Amino acid sequence: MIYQWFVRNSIIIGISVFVVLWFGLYFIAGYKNYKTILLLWFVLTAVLSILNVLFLKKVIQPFERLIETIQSLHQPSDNKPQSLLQESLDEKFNQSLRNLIEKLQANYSNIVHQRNELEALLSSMVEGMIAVDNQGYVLRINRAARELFSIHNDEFNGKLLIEVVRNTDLQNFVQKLLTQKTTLEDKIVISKIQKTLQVHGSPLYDTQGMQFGVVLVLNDITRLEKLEKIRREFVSNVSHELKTPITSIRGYVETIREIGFEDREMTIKFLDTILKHTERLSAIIEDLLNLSRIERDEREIEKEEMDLIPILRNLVEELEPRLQKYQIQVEFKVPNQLICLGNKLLLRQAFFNLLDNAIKYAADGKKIVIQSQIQDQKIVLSFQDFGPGIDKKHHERIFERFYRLDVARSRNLGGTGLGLAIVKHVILAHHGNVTLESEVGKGTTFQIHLPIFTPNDQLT
Amino acid sequence: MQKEKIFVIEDEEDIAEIIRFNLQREGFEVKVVYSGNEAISRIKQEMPKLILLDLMLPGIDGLTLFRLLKQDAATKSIPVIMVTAKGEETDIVTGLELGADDYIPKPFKIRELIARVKSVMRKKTTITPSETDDIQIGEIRILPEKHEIYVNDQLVKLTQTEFKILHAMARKPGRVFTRYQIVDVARGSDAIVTDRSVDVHIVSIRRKLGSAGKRIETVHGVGYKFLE
Repeated sequence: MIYQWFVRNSIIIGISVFVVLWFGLYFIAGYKNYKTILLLWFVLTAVLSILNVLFLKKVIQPFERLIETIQSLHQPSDNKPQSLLQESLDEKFNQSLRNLIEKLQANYSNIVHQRNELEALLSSMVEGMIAVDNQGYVLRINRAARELFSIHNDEFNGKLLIEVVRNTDLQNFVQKLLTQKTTLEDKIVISKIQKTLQVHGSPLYDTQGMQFGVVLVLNDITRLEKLEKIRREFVSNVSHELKTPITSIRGYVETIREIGFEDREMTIKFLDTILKHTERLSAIIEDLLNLSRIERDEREIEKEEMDLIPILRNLVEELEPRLQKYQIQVEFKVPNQLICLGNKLLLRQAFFNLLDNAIKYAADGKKIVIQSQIQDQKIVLSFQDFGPGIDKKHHERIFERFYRLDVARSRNLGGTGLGLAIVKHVILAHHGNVTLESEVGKGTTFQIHLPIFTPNDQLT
Repeated sequence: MQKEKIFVIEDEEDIAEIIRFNLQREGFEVKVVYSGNEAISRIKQEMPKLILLDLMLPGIDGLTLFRLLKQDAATKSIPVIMVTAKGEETDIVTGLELGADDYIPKPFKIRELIARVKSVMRKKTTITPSETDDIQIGEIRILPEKHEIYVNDQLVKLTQTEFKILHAMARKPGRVFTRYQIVDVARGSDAIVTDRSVDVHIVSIRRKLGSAGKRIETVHGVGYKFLE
């Protein structure tokens, strides 16, 4: 500042100095010797000017450099500034300045390093993280949270959390956290993105122990919730499916016990009903066990090179009495051989279930078509019936355990509710998949896609 | 005497059949309906004395059917017993709050089913005592006009809330009260009762009634009932 003042006012200062000199000399030597005074004044002025220039150079230049140096400190990458001070005022001053600069630079790069580390840490977190200050303004949102709420990079700067994430539950949670000053946990459903989040929140304290905000950690538990719901539904379905035959068995047994055996014919009829329901119970349990076995061994079922055609023809032969009863024709549109790598027993079971369904739901007197073709290195085997078809809304769920289109009808036909679930899992275990095409009133086609067999496939 | 008519709405043929068989033996006239859609019109036509309703039905489900019945002035007063295998407590509670008279979980004992049917039938014929009638059930005597309760002729001191709850339940013995129904009963009394604090009040009533407290039975996951 002083330096700048000097430069700016140099003319006035110069003139004043000369005027003062002039009057000084005049005062000492008196008016009469004005020639001497003039000479002296000139000499002194010249000397002073030279001194001035030298002085300025000596004194001001280091300051200039110092300023340059300090300014250059703003750019941390520049490592030269120390050299600029080499010919400085005083070695001690120079040294301490150099130390200071070094320290500053070390601190600076430390901070940058730590910030980068923190940034990396936060953005590599799977959990979303949001930090909010005491007034509810967003301090920081990590990558995961930004993705969760699809917030663009800097959209949150200087905004309230509620402006960034429009969810009142989350807002209430933050408010509660700010007032209670304890760690909290909650489940929040963000309907806009259809996600369920597990939210942990804790207060943030500075080094003086003052709370300056709160931090939220968000876990996306949508998938877990969905799985849990499926599991609950499954348990509830199993219990329902098991309770129904047990209710019958119990009712009939109690009735027989109550009224004795007065009416032999009726008793036998009742006993037959009991038998039917015990059979159904064991069929359900058998299917449940099969299913859990296939699921468990999905990766390591025993497979061998096998021909699918004889299995299919065999099954149809076996089902002949029922086919005749309902006057259903089975039409084969298959080659002589269809080789794949598979487990005979399991595939047989899957085909049986599909044929069984086709017979149950195909209208009397219609036909069932079994067809195969090769598509994209896959065997596509389809079972087509011309029955009532399945409404689109059921397509997605029809392979779920115990999912029934028509509870009463399917049960009367002796289904366990697990047939298609078994088909799905058997085919999955063969690295294939099952699809469904159906239209109400026209019929239904189930398609099995299996990998084609090539001789260099490894036998397992 | 004309037989009393009972409707059994149940999609499982064999279960419907055994219920029909047993209720007929008890002297009732039984009609079986297999689906909800069919049930409505037939109930209106035949006006049964009681309906046994399975909650899991094809077509219209049991709870929806039940709502329709309760909305219709003609069928509103027909008692309904819910029969359910799902054991979904929310369904049972909803049913009871909508005014179902009882529920029976599957698998049920035939004898119990008959007993419940008879009990609901009997309740319909005995008139619920009015607000001010004295009630005497076993060792408990309730005098609403005096706001007093005696157990074995010993005066028991209850709070206003507790009195209201006990009185309401004792007026309809055998009937399951859900927590919300109890909250409704206690509304406007000295204490604010929520569905969870109901449990606290019940515990307190039981304690004050001493040995007679056994008459208030917990119906797990649903509510409470006062035993006859």
